[in-house]
Amino acid sequence: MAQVFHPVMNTISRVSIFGAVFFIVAIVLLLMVYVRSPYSTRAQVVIDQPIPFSHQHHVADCGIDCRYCHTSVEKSAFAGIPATDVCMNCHSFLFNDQPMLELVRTSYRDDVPLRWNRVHDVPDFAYFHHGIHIGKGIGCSSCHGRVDQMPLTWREYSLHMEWCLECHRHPAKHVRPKEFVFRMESLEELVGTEEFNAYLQQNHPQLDPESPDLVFKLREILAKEYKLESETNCSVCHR
Amino acid sequence: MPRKDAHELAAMRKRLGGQRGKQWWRSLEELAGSEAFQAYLSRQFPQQHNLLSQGTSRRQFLQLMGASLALAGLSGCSEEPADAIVPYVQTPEEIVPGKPLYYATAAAVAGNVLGLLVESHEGRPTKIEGNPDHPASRGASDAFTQAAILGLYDPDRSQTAYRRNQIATSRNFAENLAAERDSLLQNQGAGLRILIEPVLSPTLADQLNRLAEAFPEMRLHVWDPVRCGQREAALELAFGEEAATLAPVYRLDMADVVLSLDADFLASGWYPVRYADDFMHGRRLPADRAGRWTMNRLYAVQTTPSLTGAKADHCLSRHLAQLEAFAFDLAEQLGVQVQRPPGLPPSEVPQRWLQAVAEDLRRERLSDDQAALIVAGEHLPPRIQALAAAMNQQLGAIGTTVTYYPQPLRNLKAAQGTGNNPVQSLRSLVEAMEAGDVQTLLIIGGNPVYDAPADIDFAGALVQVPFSCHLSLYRDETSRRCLWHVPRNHFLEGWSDLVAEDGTASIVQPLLEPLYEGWTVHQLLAHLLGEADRTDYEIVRAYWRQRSGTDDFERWWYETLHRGTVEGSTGEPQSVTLRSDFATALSEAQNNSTAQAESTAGQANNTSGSGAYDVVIRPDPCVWDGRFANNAWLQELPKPLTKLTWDNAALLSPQDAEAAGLTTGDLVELSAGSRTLQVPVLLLPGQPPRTITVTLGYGRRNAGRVGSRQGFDVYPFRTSDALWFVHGVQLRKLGTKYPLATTVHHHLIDPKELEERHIIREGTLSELNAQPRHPHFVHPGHAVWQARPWKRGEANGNGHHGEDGHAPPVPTAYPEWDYSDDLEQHRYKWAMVIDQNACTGCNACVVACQAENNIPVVGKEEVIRGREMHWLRIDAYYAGDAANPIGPSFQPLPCMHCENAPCEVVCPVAATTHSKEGLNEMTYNRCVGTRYCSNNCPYKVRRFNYFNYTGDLRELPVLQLLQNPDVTIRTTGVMEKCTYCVQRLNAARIEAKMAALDGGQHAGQASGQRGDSSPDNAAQNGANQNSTTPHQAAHGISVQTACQQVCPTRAITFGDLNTPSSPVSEARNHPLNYELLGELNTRPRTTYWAIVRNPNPSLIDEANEEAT
Repeated sequence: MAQVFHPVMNTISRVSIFGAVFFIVAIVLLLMVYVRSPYSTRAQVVIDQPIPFSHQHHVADCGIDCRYCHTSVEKSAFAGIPATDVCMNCHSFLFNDQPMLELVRTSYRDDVPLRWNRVHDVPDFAYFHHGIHIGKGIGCSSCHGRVDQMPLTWREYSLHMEWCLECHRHPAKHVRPKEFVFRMESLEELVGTEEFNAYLQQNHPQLDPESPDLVFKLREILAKEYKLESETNCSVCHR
Repeated sequence: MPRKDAHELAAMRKRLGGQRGKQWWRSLEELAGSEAFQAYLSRQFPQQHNLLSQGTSRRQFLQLMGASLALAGLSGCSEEPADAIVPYVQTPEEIVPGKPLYYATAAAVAGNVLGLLVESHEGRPTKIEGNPDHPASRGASDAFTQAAILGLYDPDRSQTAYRRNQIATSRNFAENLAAERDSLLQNQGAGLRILIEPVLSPTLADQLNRLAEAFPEMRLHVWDPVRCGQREAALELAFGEEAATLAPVYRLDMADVVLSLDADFLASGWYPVRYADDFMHGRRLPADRAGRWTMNRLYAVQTTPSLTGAKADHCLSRHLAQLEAFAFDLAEQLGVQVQRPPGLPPSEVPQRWLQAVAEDLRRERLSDDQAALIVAGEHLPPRIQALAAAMNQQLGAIGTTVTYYPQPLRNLKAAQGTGNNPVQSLRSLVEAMEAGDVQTLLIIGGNPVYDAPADIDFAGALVQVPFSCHLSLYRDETSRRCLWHVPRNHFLEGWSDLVAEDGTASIVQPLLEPLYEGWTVHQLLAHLLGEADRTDYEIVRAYWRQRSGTDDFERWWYETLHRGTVEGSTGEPQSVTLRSDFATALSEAQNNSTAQAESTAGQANNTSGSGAYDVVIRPDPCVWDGRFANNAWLQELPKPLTKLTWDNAALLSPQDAEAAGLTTGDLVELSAGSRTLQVPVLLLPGQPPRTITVTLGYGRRNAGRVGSRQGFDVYPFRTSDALWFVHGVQLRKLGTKYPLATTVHHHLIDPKELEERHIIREGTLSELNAQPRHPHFVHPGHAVWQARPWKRGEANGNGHHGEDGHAPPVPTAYPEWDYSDDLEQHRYKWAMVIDQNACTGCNACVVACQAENNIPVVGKEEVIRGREMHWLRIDAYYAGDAANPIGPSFQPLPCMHCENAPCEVVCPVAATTHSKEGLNEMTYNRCVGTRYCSNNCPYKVRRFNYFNYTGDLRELPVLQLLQNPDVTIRTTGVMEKCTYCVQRLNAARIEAKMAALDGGQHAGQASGQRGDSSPDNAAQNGANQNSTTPHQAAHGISVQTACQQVCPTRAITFGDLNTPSSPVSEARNHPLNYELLGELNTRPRTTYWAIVRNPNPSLIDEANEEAT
């Protein structure tokens, strides 16, 4: 009986068997890369808004504190999105003829709420509490990035569970003095500023402002003072 | 050997005969050891029934598997849908976004006024709780009130006015009503009738009185199918005419011996929330000065099994006639001078029982404010209730354990001359309607077309009325037969006020703007009064401005709203004495109801023969008189005794069923005269022989998508002379079956070894007093239970377990957890203790859990498959034989949160894990639905979402408003179970931590402010504000689970075991504390207190003698 398969098939079958393994691994790897890519996470992608609101202008240029608009950030799970009347506190006097703000004025006049597009959206089965994070000395910029440098707002990080857990496992790496929670600069950037030295002088005189491991030591002290704990039980976020 | 015929008495007897000690069983099938029951038990997953209805070939199976594998990966990749944030336009002053607010209000959901606190998320009420400052609720509430929040968001609620069943507008109706008013004004209101439910609102009463002045010829009629006047007639009979407007308020906490004559005061009577608490106050086992435990004693004689009878220490089931005979026998024993009516059959109550009860009731009390008490059911014929009142006077109970409060709202001017009870009132209305005397009929609430007695043809007479209008929540049977239907506002949508039984008034404060174009009753009457522009808010405020008698009304108003009760409104009990001619009045009453007496006697004769049955009609424990028929939570709530859902049934005793060849699910036809009723039979242990019980409220035609055509309508069988008891009823088997969805066999704890497992542990007071520290009935048999302290390797405090030194903990292969407290950072160790002695089985906790945790309903078909989703179930265990069972004893069963949890180790994806606080956590987004955990759970507390039961909320946006925003809504293929209300724990813990951090920050600056650092909301979350140090602030948080908060008898204790002084720590050290299935070494965090009954020693001896 003649051979059904040509001998070259031996090679082809071997290559395809091993190739299949590599192919599957490659696909898995690709998927893993994909879910972490900004294309999938929408991190660092500017979200269109009905009004081109600039955090950069309001925070960096005007120096408005986060809490002026996000009023409940220290108390509640929800940081709060300002009601139209908060916008109008200033904008009834400033730029009150700008066409860009027409929607704000319409909302205020007609009692119709604005509809912003959500930038930081965690899944509905994950419960995040702003108040306790602020209370425990986690700065705004740790999760939201340098909002003061965002002309239009984007999500800085993926907000994946992996990313949350990175901090929840080692919260001490991200803590900062509560006095600087609403400051956009990182703790390392704050070191050496006059303000920071004054803070150290008053609260932690034992620390040497010049020491290279100052940040590390300060975080160690703060973690104890704020009773930071690694919170990795599922029900901390999922319930 | 398993037997095929489920309830064969011989099998049961045989099985019981071989037992020593108490045997506990959940159903008759289990008791008889029937084959069906064994089959149910041996299948690991009865819920899987019919999952793959057709056989699947191997090839199909592989295809399906391949597809599902591919989909399993893809389901994780779905993109988060774009979301909008919609802020306010004007910042509301009081709202902190993301934090709920609580408002005080009140409601009379099933005719009983309860003060409430309602949780509101950004203006959206989501959960109802009792107001702790209200005397009738005391922080608790009942199943009906818990389910009222679903009633608010019911998509079937009427949303617009209808005229002749065509959609119309409210404005259109207002115009028509104004025209009607003009013509009525011409003739002094002749032809104007108002039919209303019992008036409990002073503002409404005031409006009705003003209406009566404006329209002198107007007549007011009052109808309620449940509260239909027997109680008032009895008061009149006992104390004279002026007493008919009094309301008896029992002080069960003062009564050490209580006799219930068919009164279900713990569950379905007036004010059960308050009475259950009072009763349990006397049953809570306080030790007297000599260190002996004491508790009250309850005797019950009942015509159908009730929750009160289940709690009784001695309970007899008798016919109505026998019950009456017993009442007269007892009256004689107590020395009440009455003439025993002729023709009463013997009560068949053993003489010794009677004497023991009489002696116990008569016994001398140590203090003057204690007395015995006899409570007669308010549905009993007035003469029995009056006799009970006479006996109470003889016992010195009046003024001590029963007080009488004036009820001025019962005596409305406009209602005079329309008969002095609801039945007469309705009859006189129907007579006037038939005679053409009624021009305009306003029906306010109620549903008389559906629930009028069968001999009063309300529906037929309604056709004669030219202008009829029905104000109601639903477009129900009555609405569809009226000219106009006007949607009514829910009590959370409009202003009103309510007066409780003891006179305590509350303002009903709305929680949200009306969802639809609804009217309140006050608005409707204002239109009639020509004040169409007045809102309900103005009307209620105007009334109270006048009544408050204060100069600073604004202050008074806001304080009253905040408190939830009107200060100083609680009435003074009125002293009453038995009328001098009581004995003659009683025999006259007896003679007046000759017809009934005859039928009673006739029925009595029949009892020995094989002829007729007695039918007992009761309001339904779930849908009441039918008003909750469209409430899916209540429809799917297993009824306390039968565990039946979605239906009503004819309850029959096993003996009668055997004689008639009937089993559960057989359709029968009951006939009394020309009236017939088709209904399926359900066998109930403890049902008196020759008695059939049916409940009202089912068989609705126009209830809505949930309630229509569910169950069987009993109203056509109910006539005005036989409202609660129908005598001489014939039963005929129809030969067809009807599927009944009962949950009695669902989630069984393997009862094969029930005797060894001691799921229920029950003893008597004397047994407890013999061994007060270590009662043997709490730790029967197994040395392992007695030896092991509940805290592993830790000092055992004052625990009773290891008095002779600690035995080492039973070794375990499970991972060891460290729950130890750390002084720097307090660590919680959550635990729950359930006092089964205090549990009345009222189901409030089941509905509260459902409301708090977004638990869906699954429908009747799915319940039959055993897929109901309740996280908390109440198991009922009977003892004794089927004919005269003891109990049942109720066991609420949430997740045990085992320290060695069998579910955790079998989860392949770590979706169920252990937290450092000892919670057994379920992470829905991780669950892939293997159901191994449920298989491995010995307590069967896990529930699986076979379908997306909540459904797509985008299709019914109004139900979106209902959901608790703090709890994830689960979807298909996910396991779920009790979380100990982890959302409440998290909220309280975060609140306490934030308060502690604030305190720490300010510690160096102003020590005096530390206690104030927690905001108001901390109090709402139950956080302790008296804390002084950060550690204690975190330490002392107290948080209530939903089931605990709602419990009228406070049977559930919850808290932190790492705080030695916490109530739960103390409860776990109580001598009655035991672990369910503790021998499995699961180390459950939920433990139980054994049941202690207090039988009369003289009656116990008798029982023992009989046994030997």
